[in-house]
This record gives sequence, C-alpha cells and structure tokens, in this order.
Amino acid sequence: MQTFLEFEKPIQNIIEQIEKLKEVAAQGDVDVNPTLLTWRRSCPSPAREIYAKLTPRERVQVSRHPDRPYTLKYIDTISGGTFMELHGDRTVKDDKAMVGGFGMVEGRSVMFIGQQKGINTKMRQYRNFGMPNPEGYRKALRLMKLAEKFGKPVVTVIDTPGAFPGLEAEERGQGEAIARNLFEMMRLRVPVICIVIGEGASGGALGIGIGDRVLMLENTWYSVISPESCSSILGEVDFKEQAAG
Amino acid sequence: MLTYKLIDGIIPEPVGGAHADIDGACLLVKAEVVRSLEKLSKTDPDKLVERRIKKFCAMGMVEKARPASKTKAKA
Repeated sequence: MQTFLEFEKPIQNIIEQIEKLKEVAAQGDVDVNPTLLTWRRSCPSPAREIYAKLTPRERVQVSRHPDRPYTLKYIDTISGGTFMELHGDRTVKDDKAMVGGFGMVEGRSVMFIGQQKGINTKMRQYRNFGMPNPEGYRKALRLMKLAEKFGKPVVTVIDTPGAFPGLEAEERGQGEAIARNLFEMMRLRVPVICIVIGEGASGGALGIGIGDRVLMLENTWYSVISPESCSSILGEVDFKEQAAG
Repeated sequence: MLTYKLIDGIIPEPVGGAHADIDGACLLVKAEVVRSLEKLSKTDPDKLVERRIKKFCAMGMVEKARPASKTKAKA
C-alpha cells in the first residue's frame, strides 16, 4: 500500500482509478486496455507538475515520506548486494541507528557509513528513529580509521533527525564524540563523499558529514535545526497546530 | 546551500520523488558516487586533506547590517 501526502492527491486519484479499472477487467470480459493507455499517458504529467513547484514545506514532507528509501537500500543497490556490515564501537555497544561496512562499487571496495531509520514502528524503535548515540559516532570513526588504514574511500549516507539528545547519550559524551569525528574526518587521508538522502539535522548529520564532496538529493534538507523548531523559535508559523488540526 | 558553497552538488530525483522510483533514485546516486570516486581517487592524499580543510574553513560569511538611522531615513 502506497502512502500519499496531501499535495499528492491528484496522483493518488489516478492510481486508485487504475486499480479499480483493473478489478473490473478481472471480473468481467470488458477490454480496459485502451482506457488504461490514456490514463498511463496522463499519469506522469500531474506528478511532474506537482513536483516542479513544491513549496519548501512540501519538500520537507517529501524528505520524510514513509515510502522513501533508507540508507541500507541505497547501500545495497550501489554495492550490488556485496555490502558486509561491521558492528560495534569497541567500548560500549553496537548502535543500530548507525550502519557501516565494506562494499564493492565497480570493482573498488568502499567503506559505507550511514544512519538507518526503520520501515515500521518496531524497526523504528530498534533503529532509535535514526538518532545515533555516541557509540554510533565512535563506531563510524572506527570504521573510517579502518578504511584509512587500508586506503579505501569512504562514502557516508546521511539521513537523521539529529543526534540522540537523551541523558545517557550526554553521559557518554555525545558532544565529544561528534567533535572528535569532525576533527578526525578533516584529516582522513582517503577520499570522503557525503550524501544527504533525507533529513540532515545539525550535529547528527555533521558527525559523519565532513567530506571532499558533500552532495544532497533534490528533496532533502540539511540545516542546523529541524525546520519546525526553527520556525517556532522565530515565531512565524506554528507547525504543531498544523499537525494537530 | 549551493550558492553559499555549503554543499558541492545536488543529485536529481526521479519524477515524483525518490519513493516513486526507488531503483531509479539509487542508480542516480550510484552514478554520482562512481563519478566522484574516480575523480577523487586520482588526487594525492595530502592535497585531499588540504583542500578539505580549506573548503570547510571558507564556509560562512558576514553581512553587515546598515545602521538603523540610515535605513529609517531611506524608508
């Protein structure tokens, strides 16, 4: 079942009608192919129109779309299924919000590191909603050092609503872990490519975001604070009201 | 962000966003990664580090606000 955002309604209508037509065709012997063909022709155009003039608010919604592919999907496709995950920061525990490991890209082995979100409620809790703890950043640093040792390039995939702000994260030195990552990533003697594929919030994103090439996908955001918090500080629009209403 | 040089490039998404064509989006990202890797792997490590530090040090800019009296006079 696909999920549709509010401004995607016209696309949803067309897709639902196609499904209905198919059901009719399956029940009776009415030939729906000519009608379907006309629908197909008209289907990409509303999508193109809608996505050509997205407002900033809609773009933020797209970046959090529940059907959007997450880090592991990108890594698996880019590495053609050769990705081998490595675990643990060698001090506290393995952070599930941060994934990393080697994979092959066009005959070259590459270290992939990125924040992973879950696809359903249970997985989201397991992955801590893509918010890494300090051990996640320390794991990322350990893997980057490993890549540097073997002279392999690093590709980081950023998709996080922020670093985890819990009490235990602060106790274990969240700020220190991120700051150390910034420092060490600056002087990594291998190529580093960073890609923002969804949300890129603040230190959570920067902790693995220092690279020779920092790239963003079209419908993503990368900022010091989430757009909602920023607007409530500035007091212009209250998004909480919008969400409740 | 591109104009302020905070990022180096934007990867386009398929029509309807990355969720409408997941494989297409992944392939677009892959193409960009391969292109960047090829370019960067030829560069000397010392130069890479030096360039990276320079790039991040150059980020940020200060805009001077006009004195309040002048702005008022203009308005």
